[in-house]
Amino acid sequence: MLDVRELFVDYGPLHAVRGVTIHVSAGEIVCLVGPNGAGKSTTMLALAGVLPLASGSVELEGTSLSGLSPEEIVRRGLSLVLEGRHIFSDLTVRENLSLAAGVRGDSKAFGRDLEHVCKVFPFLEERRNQKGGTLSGGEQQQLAIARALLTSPRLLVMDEPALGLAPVIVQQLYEVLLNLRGEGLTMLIVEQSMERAVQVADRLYVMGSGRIVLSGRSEEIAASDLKKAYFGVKSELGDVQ
Amino acid sequence: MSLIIQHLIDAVSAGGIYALAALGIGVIFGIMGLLNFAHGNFIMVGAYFIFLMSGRPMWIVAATTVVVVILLAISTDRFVFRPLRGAEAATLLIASFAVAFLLENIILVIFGGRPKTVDFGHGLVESVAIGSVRISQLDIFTIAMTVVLLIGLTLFLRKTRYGLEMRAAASDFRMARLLGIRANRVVATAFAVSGVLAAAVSIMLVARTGGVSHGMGLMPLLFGFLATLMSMGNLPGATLGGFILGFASVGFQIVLPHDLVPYRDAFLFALVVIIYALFPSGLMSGLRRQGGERV
Repeated sequence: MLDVRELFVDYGPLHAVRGVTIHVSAGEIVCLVGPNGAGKSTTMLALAGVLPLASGSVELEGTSLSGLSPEEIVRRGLSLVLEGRHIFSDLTVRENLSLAAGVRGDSKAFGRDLEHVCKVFPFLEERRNQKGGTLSGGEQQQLAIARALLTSPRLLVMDEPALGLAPVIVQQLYEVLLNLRGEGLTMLIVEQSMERAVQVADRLYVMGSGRIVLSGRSEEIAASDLKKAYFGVKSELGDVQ
Repeated sequence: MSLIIQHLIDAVSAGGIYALAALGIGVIFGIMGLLNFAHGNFIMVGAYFIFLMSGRPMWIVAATTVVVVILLAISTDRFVFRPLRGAEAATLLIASFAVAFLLENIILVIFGGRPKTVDFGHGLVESVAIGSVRISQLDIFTIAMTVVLLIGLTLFLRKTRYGLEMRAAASDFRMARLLGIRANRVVATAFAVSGVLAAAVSIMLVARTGGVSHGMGLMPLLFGFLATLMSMGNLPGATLGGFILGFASVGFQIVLPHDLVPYRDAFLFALVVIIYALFPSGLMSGLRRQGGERV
């Protein structure tokens, strides 16, 4: 479904992402793990068109996304949930959700999807007139995911959805994500917790210093290799600094 | 008592003009982070268009002025700011300076530097008596136009799809784009709204002063900036800021000793500095934060 080849992303003279290649098949959950500063979020922003590619290619179901704007990329089926949720705090829950309707040509289909996400996240209907900024962190994260789902993505990309949430909320959130996978949704998730990534992902990519340093099926990667890649990268980062 | 009411009407009238100028600047600032220096020149071009159309029925002049200033504002976005989309804020600021200089010099070349008198709104010079208070029709016209525009803008932002997209983009432009909201359409809509508000200020100023000059956009631009900066792009805050400036302006005019009245604007700017110090995140955000914490 998603083919990222030899992706390079620069911040001025700094090479933040260096030759990253990622493949995500339909129906999979793929996790991208790595320490802070590894280039995970930069990779996600580049996939969604927020940051320009220095070189390399991004294809979704055979269609090139390279050089497209974020609003065109979401119309082609890749939706990104940003780290930190980015709820429109002064808009109501319903207004936050209805913003996604602009991507959809069919208002009936949007209405059906809205009903569906309200079943997946029942609090959305109860709090539809409440300002987004007054929701708890967990509710805001669910609203952010619901909003992205309403753009009808073929690939849902999430940057650290568990960040800042209580463990019990994280567990509930991942149960919902696994259910969505069961409904056929493909996901690429940035995750800092190795343990959680191994539990939920079909395949893993470990990033460090802007590169992929390890990849494979979750059940096939030995825990020792994973730790070595993750922490090895960390020490390498230390050397760089 | 009637004198106090008269001063209050003057303050609301002046505050309305400043609030509309601030909103015109604020809709662009909220979305693009750009303090559009050309906004004062949009007001000036609108005024000179009224000069060209003078003698015709007032409503025709007003309607065509709104259309012309909207087209000017949208064209500025299309041909100046859209090619610079994603550029640094300083680049956009310099581009807005360039547009401001270009428009002013075009007006100077066509009309010269001398102020012109305009036959517009002469039917509004009469006063009406309400009890012991005499209110000029100009004040009634200005206040009514301000109220209609504020209600119209609120309904547009609250009840329409374009308004919802503008509010989202003003809050978090990147996230809005990630939800498929088209950046160019939102920015063009913001410039169109800014054009309507600039045209309204042109109409009010020409009706009140009976003349046009190439520098007439400067004061509304300055007061609009101050109100916008007091609110940090928050539109209700910009409106409040405009009215605070209007009331303070009239208030200083009344309370300052005769010798200090020429320095009224210095006192106004000092007041703005104090407001910045008290509400560094903007007027309405400061009030809201003090009002109660979020859950």
